Amino acid sequence: MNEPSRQPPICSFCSLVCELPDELHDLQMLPVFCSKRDIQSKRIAASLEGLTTDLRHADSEALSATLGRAIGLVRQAHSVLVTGRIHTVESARAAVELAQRLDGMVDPWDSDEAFDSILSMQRVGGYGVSLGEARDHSDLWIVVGDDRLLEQTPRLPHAMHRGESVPMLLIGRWSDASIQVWSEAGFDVLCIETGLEEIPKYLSQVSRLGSNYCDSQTGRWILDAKYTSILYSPTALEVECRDLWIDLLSRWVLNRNETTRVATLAWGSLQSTFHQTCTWLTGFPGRIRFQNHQPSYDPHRHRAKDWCDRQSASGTAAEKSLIIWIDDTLDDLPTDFDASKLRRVIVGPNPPSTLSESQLWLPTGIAGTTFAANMFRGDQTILAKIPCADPLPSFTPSAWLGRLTR
Amino acid sequence: MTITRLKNVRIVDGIHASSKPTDLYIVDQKLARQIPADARIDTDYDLEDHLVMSGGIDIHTHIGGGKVNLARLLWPERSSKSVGEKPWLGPLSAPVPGTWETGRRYLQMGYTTCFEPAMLPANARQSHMEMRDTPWLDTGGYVVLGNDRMLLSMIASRAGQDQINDYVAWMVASSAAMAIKVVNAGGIDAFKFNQRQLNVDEAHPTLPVTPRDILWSLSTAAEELGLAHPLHVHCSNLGTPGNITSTLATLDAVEGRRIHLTHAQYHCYGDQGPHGFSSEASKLADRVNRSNHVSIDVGQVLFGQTITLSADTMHQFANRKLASPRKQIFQDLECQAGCGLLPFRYKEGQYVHGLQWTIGLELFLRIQDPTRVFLTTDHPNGGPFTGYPHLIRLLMDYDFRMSIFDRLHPDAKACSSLPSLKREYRLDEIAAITRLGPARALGLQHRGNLSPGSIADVVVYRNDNNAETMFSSPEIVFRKGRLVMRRGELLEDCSKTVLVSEFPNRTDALTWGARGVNRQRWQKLYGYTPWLTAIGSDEFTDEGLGIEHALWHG
Repeated sequence: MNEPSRQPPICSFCSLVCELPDELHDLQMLPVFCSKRDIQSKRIAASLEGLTTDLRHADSEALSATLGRAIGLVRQAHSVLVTGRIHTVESARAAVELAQRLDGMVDPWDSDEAFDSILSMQRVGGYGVSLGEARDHSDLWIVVGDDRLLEQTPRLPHAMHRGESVPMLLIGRWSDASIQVWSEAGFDVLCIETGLEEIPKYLSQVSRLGSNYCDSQTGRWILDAKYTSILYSPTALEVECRDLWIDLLSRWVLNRNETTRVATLAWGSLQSTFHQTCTWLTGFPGRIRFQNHQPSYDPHRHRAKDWCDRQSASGTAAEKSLIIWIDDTLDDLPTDFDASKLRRVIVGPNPPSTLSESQLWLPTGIAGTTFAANMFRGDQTILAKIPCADPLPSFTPSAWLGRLTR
Repeated sequence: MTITRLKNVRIVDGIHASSKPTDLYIVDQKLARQIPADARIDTDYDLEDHLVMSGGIDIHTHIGGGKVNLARLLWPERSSKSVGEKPWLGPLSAPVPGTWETGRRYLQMGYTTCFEPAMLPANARQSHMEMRDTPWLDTGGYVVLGNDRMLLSMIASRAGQDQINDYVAWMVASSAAMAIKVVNAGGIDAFKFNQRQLNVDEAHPTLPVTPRDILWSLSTAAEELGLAHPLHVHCSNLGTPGNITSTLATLDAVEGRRIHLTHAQYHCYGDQGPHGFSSEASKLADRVNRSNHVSIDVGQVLFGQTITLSADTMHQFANRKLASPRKQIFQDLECQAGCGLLPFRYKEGQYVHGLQWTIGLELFLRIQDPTRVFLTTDHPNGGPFTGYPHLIRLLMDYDFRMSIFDRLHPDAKACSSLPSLKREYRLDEIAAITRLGPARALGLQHRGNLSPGSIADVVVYRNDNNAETMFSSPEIVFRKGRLVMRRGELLEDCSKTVLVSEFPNRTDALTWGARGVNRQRWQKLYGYTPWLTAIGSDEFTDEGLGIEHALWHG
């Protein structure tokens, strides 16, 4: 299939993985501005020249020696954790396959929020909606969360808006600047400052008691809506017992659909790509340990951070433990990971602060910049191919992981 | 050139009728009946007392895509029996296992080609990715249309069929699909507008379009585009008592064009009997017997735990209180379709479940041409695909069938005609419903048979009076001429192939600017260009996958 020459670039820096097309302003086509893309592009620009030059002219002998030492660490290890910030199908496949080959454990580093959502789904289920459906169909949006949602996915309001004014209830801790972003995107915004814990209860009361309970604008919007989409992101949801909160909301949504139409749009992070890929390969979304190459799932015990704590606490186990860290971001290593003293192999674009015999670095590029990859949009409906015009295929996480057990 | 000889085998493929042992050759990746006199045979297998079939083809099995992955997610529990050093010898670990297990278990039954029947256009890349990660199988998928708002508005505005054909061609090609699937035509979208039922001649709640209009437009598009497989139809009113009326109306709606009815067992119910639920399998079977343009797959129910999953949110939601255990997932997706998933347990002693079991078998036994009725459980909806050997035994062994029939609910037994159907399938008929028929219906000339020149997907079974034993444990399996399994032990896999439809009548529709895709409308509806979800063939070749084009041969 021949692609058109004007295919817009697909940005890989947030879970919207959007195309960022040009827009017409005052009869001039201007590139769409996105703060996240802007920041990330500057970081890449700052490091790209060095990165690609380094990768293209990498000292193959030195790299081979590092790889050899990494293979040595893998062979010596009695217990292996594969973790990191894994954002592409290709990295996720390689991570899971490596963990299987080594009878190790695999879990992304920051998976707590995602697992709150996953555990709720495994207990209750839910009624979901994709971004495109909600955009075209909703006559009411309820957005629950705080400013972090817009920081993580700055262009989400634009992607949600279909070109006509739609009512929106903003619930949670939203700054004036954020409220303005939602309004400027074209929504008719009402902001409710309330504890998020109260939301499922509030929605239940409105729907159960009807207009007798609430004659406010909010209540009328909720009762009159023919298709309500409730947007939240587990990573921007400040509630205690997040999984139970999601349970309650999901139950309300399921029951409400007996008479009208309501659905949730649970916006996932870039890490959803890992959970999806791991699920199709093994049947489980992560937090698995392989035994005899068969996956065993324990969402409570097989958590990456707990594994590190357990191994670190045991002197002998620590000596035989190895972390393989896979990074699809330009971000610095998380401080809680950096504090760990276990041996590790870092596979990513950024070197760790120190390199030693027990901390090795295998350099990679960035999806969409030095290699092509596939990533899920946050609603986990669209799997977008992030193309790359000038790839460096040897320096991908999957290529390195393949070599580690060769 | 590498030559393998299978000596003294009995060939069973539904075409070649000889029961005498003969020799079959595998020359590289193809089959041959003869080789040059001076040719050197590299490997020789003496297979006396064995029979050989081509690799099995599952025309309708949910093995990849968003809802399949949700089903995996919904069922984290694992069968304890599957844990151990050789878990593949036990039951499936879950009703919808991961891709690694799926591929392995299909191969261990002798299946080599499978089709995911419900790829959402927006989600087709994921479906293909999952299938790419399903080892041992060549795969393809059908793209779900008929609830996509672009198409519905085109039909509602009485767009010309040429324009619809262009749009359909774009959707099939950009999804790298084999065929068009329609699920509850218009009904999934109607449910998004809170309509709970949609009959074949009932209008959509917001558009002047009926399921009949959709079926007519799509079956016409499939025919005029020359797609290998006819319109693959999941009828209206899934699982509803009395739905035989809408099923027959669906057949009428295509006005004699080729059509495939999928999981037909769920669509031939009456509303008579002691519980307002009865079999109308004979009516559907009669119609199929009289209509050469109709094929079906059965969607047989097998007793036990499973997960039902479907794009038909309307009817899945209606059944949500039947979920066992009580959890369920539904989604409305991208102005194109939706999905609903319910864990479900089919019980022998339950009236409706028992009758569903008999209805599926009735269809198999009443339809005379085995190349137009295909063996499926609509995995995982009627039960996991690993039940196929058991189902084959049910078809081949009347006494075995009746031994299970005896355990059904007394009312189900009382109103079933199954005991009067004494037919027992022969081996060549089993080959027809699992290989030859699906291959023909899909335009796969070189699969599903053992003719010279066919792809050397070959399965060798040891003769056994117990068909379940025989079909659950082939002696050896070849894929594309390579030995990939021996007595349950998996060997190195060969290359994988993606099967897509040829477009003999519309090659120009694949280029950008196809008339049928209104880019402005698309962008307004979805917020992205059509290219975001379109799959380029390089995505397969870059992953080392081959591409095979299927073509209808009449």
